[in-house]
Parts: sequence; C-alpha cells; structure tokens
Amino acid sequence: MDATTPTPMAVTVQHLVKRYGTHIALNDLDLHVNKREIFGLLGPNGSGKTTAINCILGLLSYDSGSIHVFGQELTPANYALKRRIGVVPQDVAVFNELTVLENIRYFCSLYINDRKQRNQLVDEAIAFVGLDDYRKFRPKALSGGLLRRLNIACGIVHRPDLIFFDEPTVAVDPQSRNAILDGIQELNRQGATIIYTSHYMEEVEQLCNRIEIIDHGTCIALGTAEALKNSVQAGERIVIEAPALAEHPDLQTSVLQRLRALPFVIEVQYANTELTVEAQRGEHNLVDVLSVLHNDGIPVGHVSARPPTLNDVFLELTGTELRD
Amino acid sequence: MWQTFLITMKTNLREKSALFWLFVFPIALATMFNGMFANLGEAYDIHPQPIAVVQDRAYCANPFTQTFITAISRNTQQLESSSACAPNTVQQRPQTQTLIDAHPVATTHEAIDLLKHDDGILGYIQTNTKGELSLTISASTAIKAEGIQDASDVHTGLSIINTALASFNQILQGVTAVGQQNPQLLANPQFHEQLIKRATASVTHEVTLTNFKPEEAARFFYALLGMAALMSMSFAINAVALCQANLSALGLRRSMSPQPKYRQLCGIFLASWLCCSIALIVSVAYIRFVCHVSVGGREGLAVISCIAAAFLATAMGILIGALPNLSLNVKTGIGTMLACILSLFSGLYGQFAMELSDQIKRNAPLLATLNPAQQITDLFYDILFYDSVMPFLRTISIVVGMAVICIAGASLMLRRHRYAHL
Repeated sequence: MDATTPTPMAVTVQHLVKRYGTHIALNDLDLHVNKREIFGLLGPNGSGKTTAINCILGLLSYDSGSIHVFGQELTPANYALKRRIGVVPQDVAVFNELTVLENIRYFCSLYINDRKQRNQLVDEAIAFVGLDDYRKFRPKALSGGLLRRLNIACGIVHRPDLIFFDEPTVAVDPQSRNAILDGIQELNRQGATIIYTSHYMEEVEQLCNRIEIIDHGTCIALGTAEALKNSVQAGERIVIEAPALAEHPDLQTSVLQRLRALPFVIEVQYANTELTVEAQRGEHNLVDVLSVLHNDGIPVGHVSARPPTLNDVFLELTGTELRD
Repeated sequence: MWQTFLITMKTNLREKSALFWLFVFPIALATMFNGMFANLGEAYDIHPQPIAVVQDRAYCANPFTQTFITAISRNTQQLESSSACAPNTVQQRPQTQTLIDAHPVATTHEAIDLLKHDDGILGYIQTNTKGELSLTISASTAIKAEGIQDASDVHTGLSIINTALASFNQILQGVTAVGQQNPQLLANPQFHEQLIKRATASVTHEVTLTNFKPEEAARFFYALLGMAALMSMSFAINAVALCQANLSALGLRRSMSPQPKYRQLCGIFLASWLCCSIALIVSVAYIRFVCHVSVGGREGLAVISCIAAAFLATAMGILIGALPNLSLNVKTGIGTMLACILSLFSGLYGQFAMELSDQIKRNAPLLATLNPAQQITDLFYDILFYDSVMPFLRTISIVVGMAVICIAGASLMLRRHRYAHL
C-alpha cells in the first residue's frame, strides 16, 4: 500500500446524532477506526461511549448521521457483515445453566454451520483463553477472571475481523488482566481490528494504537497516547515532600506565591506535607522549583517528577467533577 | 434454530427454580389435593354404620323385624348366633344394601352403656311392642354427624338408616292393618317374603349419563392442571428475555449473531412448548396413576390436552416476554400473577372458587371463554364428563385460537430489531 492509498476503514461514523427526548446523547460524533488497529474509546460515564457502540452494532436507532462497517451499512439483516463482528460486552453474557464448552459451542454455532470447523474453532478459542481445564465447569463455578475469559471466548470463537471489547477487565485480578490484554494484542496480531473501551487508562495506553476521548456525545480528542499527552497544557508534575511548610503558614504562603510566579508553572498546591507543581514542558523545571525552596532554607524530603499520564489528559479534558 | 432449540431445552431443564415450580409444585399440590379430597367421592357411598341392635322380647316377638334387621346387617351370623330369639321363620335373606354393622345387645340399658363408653357405636335400634323400629343416636354422634365434612359419611349413613327404618315402619303399619282384616294372609310365608322384599328394595336406581363415573374431586385436579400450564409460561418468558438485546447482555450478544431473529424465536418456542408439555404430562400422569383421578380411559386425549395447553401457555409466555419496556422480573411477576388469578376463576382454590367458576360459566360465559385457565381446565373436564368428543374439540379450537392470537401479538412486538433505548 503506497502513501496515496487511503487507509481502509473498519468503522466510519460521521455526524452521528442520537437523542433521548430532549437529551442529546451523541452530538455530531465522528469516529474512524482503521483496519487492524486497536482503537481506544474513552469517556466519562454517560459520555456516549456505549450509545455510540450500540449504534455502530445496529442495535440502537439514531436520529441522523451515517455508520459504515467495512464500507457497508450494518442493517439487522446484513448477516454477512454480522459474521465478521464479535462483541464482548461489559456484563458477562453467557448461559449460567450451560458448561464452558456448551456456551462457547453454542455461540460458535450461531456463526459457523460446519460442525468440523466449529469443533476446531471451539477448541482453539478454549485454548486461547486458557480454559482447557474448565470445559465441564458451569459459569457459577468459575472465578471472576475465568468468567471474563469465557465471556471473551464466546465473543471471539468465530474469528471475527472486528471485535468490540467493552471494559473486559472489570473486577479481575492483575494476572487475569495481563492474560486478557495479551490475548487482545494477539488477536490484533492475527489481523483483527479491536475497538476497546475501558476506564483503566494504563490499559488503554498500553494497548491502543489510537484513542478517541468523547464527552457529552462529541469527540474532544483523538490521536495516539503520546499525541494526546503532548496536546495538553500540563507537561510535567513535580511532587516534593516539604513538611517544614506545614509548620510555618506564612512561609508556605510566600513560597507558593513565588512558585506561581515562575513562568512555566501552571498550578501549585500544598497538601499533606507535599508540594505539587503542575508545569509546562521544560528541561530545568525541577531545578528552578528546588532553587526557590533552597533559597528560603526549606528542607526537602522525597522528590519526584513525571510526565503527564493519559489519566492526566483525560481529567484535564473532561474535568474532575463527578459524573453519574 | 436446532442449536437454539437444544440450548433452550438444556437451560430450561437445568434451571432449578423452573423445575421446582413446573414439576415439583403441581405434584406437591396434587398430593395435597389427594389428601384433602380423597373422601369427597366416598362421602356419597353408603358404608355400614356400627349400630347396636337391642334383641329384647319385642324384637324376638316380631319375625318381620328380625328379618329386616338381618337384611340390612353386614354381620348376619353374629346377629343370629347371639340372638335369644326363636329361629326365624323367614329363611331367605333378601339381597340388599347393608346399612348397619350390627352389635347385638340384650337390653336397652346395655345399648345405652355401649354408647356411654363410646366404643365406636353410633346408636342403637330398638323395637317397640308393635314391632316398629326406632334409631337412637348418642350425643357425640349427633355432633359428629352435623360437624365437619369428614363426618359426612356418618351423616349420610345415619340418614339412610333412618329413612329405611321409617319405610319399614310404614309398611309394617300397612301389614298390621291388612292382618287385622285378613289374618290368613299373615300366615302365608310367601307373603312374608314379598313384604321383606318390598321393605328392603331400593326405591331408586343409578343411571349414568356418561361413559365414565364422574368424580367430584376431579375438577379440582383439572383446575390444578390449568394453573400448572399457566405457570409454565415462565419457560417462554425467560427464553424470550434472553434473546432480546434490550433485556439482557446475552440477548445483545445473540442479537448480533447472523441468525435471523425468527429462527431463534422458533427454536425458543418449540423448546419451551416441549418443556411445558413434558411438565404437564408428568403432572397428568401423577394425578392419573398416583392420585387415581380418572381421565375416563381417554389417556391419549389427555396427552393431546397437555400438548394443546402447553401450546397456549407457551404462546402467552412469548407474548408476555415480548412486552416492551418491562424488566424480566416484572414479566415473570405478570406471568405468575395471571396464573394465580385466572386459576381462582377456574375453581382451583376450593369449593367457593369452584362455585364462582360455575357462576361465571352460567352468567358470563364470554368471560369463562376468555379465561385460558378455564379453557385448559375444560380440556380435561370435557374428556371425562362428555361421551362425545365435540365439546373437547370445541375447547381445543378455542385454546389454539387464543394461542394463535398471542403468537400474532408477540410477532408484532418482536419484529423490531433496533431499539430506541437499550
């Protein structure tokens, strides 16, 4: 593929509008997911992520805009296109009365008619999520992590080209989480396009090629994790332990004023004996901050400086107030 | 569709609460009914009652009385062996219904003592000097006979004995009058035979209007089957909820599959229908073979009734399951509520409910026709109580018609693929 060939799109959403009465859930939302990428969809609760996904999946009606999956409209009767899509919903969607094997086999049977091929795919899916020893177990006998893996197996058993993962690691232990994330990367390596939503920023940062942050039904940021971090004002966070400031309120006020006067400083806070400085990107920020403290003879303890995380970006873009 | 059918069968038959309500509950209720209503039919049967017979001088002096008492007694030998009377001139004992379990005593005092000791003797029969018989019962027997339903056997038995004695006395008075005018006739043994035959003859004879002997309690069991059928709506309600994207994550996942919705619904319907049919057939088999409630020898029609009832229940379950904007719990609640309320009007909850059901049938037949529990109850009722299969065919056509209407309504609601809310 040369540079002039447009990247083939797995999902294209343009000017999508969805209203619930007077409430606008999706407000002119655009979303473009390239084939074979892991695309992160972030947003606070109620931002419109799930609504957008349900519209893309053809389950939810919408007021205006267009949605195309692999260049086609996903109508309820477009069964050929549905065969290429897998869904791993946030709630575990399996039959509690069936065993692991029966569940996976059933969901495979909805997509694959050939019995031999089906059996092979089922075995592969079970091996992929590491449930070989639990074939005869019913879901109630599985731990949270194993249950999530079963949920994933049911969604990917038919080898879809496009897979939606809606918070697949909620309430699982770190070992299971790592196994799930490794599995998603492996699916992507095998050629699947992934659309991934999560509230765990470090997961998204680790997994996704590109990330779109939506709020109030609109896209407010789009790009790679690095690009998003560069796009925000905060470039560095410096945290300095300075218990002496707590004992001298006048000195504390004076130090905070002088720190705020520094040209690269965005925000300064002092709480719990820790001084936190939000600063723009710069090479000597830490030295300059420490100089202010040193000039006043204030002893310092632990010092740390780190670049902004995706979490910082998310909070800066969507605000810190609580959402429903 | 086949896979969905198999999965729905497995999930239905592995769901413990469904198994309890659909298999265990009707059987438990039938067992309870069996205990409650076991004596209901027997109350109309005549059983010999333990009665003391005073064999005093007046008794021995009257061969008619002796012959009559012997005729209505079960334990004839005991009566005759203990008697101090001379051998009866009337040798042939007429064939009649035995009414008393005679306990011979020599005197009235002895009889009264027996009653006082409450040895199970209900009363005593005494002969007066004219040869007429009278029945005296103890105070405790009087209370028992007027009391609870369990004692209706005693009440019926005593009433019949009393009537028989009155009839005997009336004939005896007639004979006495004839004897005064024609004493030679009384010496004729054939005349004696005729008299006793007349005195002990039944004045009624049983006529059956059906091929099968109706059982009073059977209607309660049939009403129970109506309720059991409607309870089995829950199979379909649950199964439909599990394939609707707006009701469950499982429904969302299944909605995303490349299977046409109607195929999944067909699989669900057939599996739920089969499960419901099995549940009903098990209940009918239990009622028939364990509780010994007859279906009039028409077991084949009873199975067809189960299948038709299950068809209606499944169709209603699909309709309730398809109702928009209601959670699964609310839908299950609606199903249970309908089963309980409609069963009241089909007579499940005892005699009062049965009378209510009859009143509705008489005064508001349309309401009875619209009650699915009543129609399912009638399916079994028609089998037992009518010789002709026409009433059964009429009821089954109503049941199928109602089911078709439910399926049509459900299809209209389930044809939606995209939802405004999820």
